[in-house]
Amino acid sequence: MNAKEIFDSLKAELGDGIIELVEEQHVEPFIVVSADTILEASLVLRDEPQFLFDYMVNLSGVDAKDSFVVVYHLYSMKHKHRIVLKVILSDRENPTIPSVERVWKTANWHEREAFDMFGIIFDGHPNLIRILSPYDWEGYPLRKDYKTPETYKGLKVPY
Amino acid sequence: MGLLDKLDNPYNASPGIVLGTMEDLLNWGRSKSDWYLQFGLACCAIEFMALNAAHFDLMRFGCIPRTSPRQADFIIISGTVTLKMAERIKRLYEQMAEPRYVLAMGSCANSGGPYWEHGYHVLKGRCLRARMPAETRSLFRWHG
Repeated sequence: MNAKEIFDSLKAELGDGIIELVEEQHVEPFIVVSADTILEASLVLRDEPQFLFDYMVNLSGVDAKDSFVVVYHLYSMKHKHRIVLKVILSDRENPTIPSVERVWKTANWHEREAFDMFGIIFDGHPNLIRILSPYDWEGYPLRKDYKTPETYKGLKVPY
Repeated sequence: MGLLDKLDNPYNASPGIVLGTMEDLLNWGRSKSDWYLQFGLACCAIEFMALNAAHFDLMRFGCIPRTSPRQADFIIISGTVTLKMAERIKRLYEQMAEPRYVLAMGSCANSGGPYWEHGYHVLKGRCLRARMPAETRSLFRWHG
C-alpha cells in the first residue's frame, strides 16, 4: 500500500483522530495523528491484515519551537511498505502522549530517549527514566531553549 | 635563571624537565614494560585496539592490557570523556596501584575536541587534568 491508501483506510477506520496526510517532495509522506488516537492507530496499524506494521524503525522527538513533535517510522516486513506518523504536542509546558511501548517493545528505549532529550512524557510507559544523561541531570538538552549548565557535580562544563 | 636553576635544584617539587639524549629516552622507555588498563571510551578506542593488534603490536614492548585497574600501571583515556563517565574514570583511577599514570589520547580527551563549544555533556581536557591528582601531571599529548 502507498501512503495515500494507508491514510484513506486508516481515516475510514478511526475518523477525526487521523488529521491529515502530507505528501511533499523530497520528504517521506507522513500522516498527522492526534495524541488521543495514537495508541489506537498503532494497534490498528500493527494488527490489521492489510497494514501489518510489525516493525517500528524509529521513534524520535522534535522541538518545533512552538510545539513538540513525536515521529514514528513504521515498516511492514510482510507487505514491505512503510509509513511515517507524526503527533504534534502543542502544550510546551506539559507535553504528554500515550506510550506505544505495549504495541512495539522497541518503543521502550526510544521513548526514554525522547523523554531524556525533550522532556516528553509518555503516559503508560513502564520505566520512564533517563537513558543517556545521568539520572540526576537537570533540564532537557535538545530543547531549543536549553541552557548549558555551568557545572555538574563540581565539574566545569563550558570551557 | 629559570631553566638551569630549576635543573640544579633536585629538591624542587616539580621541575618538570628532564635532560638527556633521545637514545636515553628510548632506552628508558624500552626498559619498562608498562601494563595498561584495558579501557576504551569512544572512537579513539578503535585506534587503541589497532595499537595492540598485529600491525603496531604494542605487546612487543611488553605492554599488556590488564582488565583490572589493580594490575595496571597506567590508564589511557582513549576518547571523549562524558560527565557521566568522568566519575567512573576517577573511580577506576583511584583503584590503580601507585605509581600510576594517565595518558590522554586524542583531541577529545585533551580539550573536548569537536565538543569544545557545544558539548554540554563532555568534560573538556583541562578539567580532566584538574580532576586527576598531582602525580598525573605527565599527561602527554598523543595522537592529534
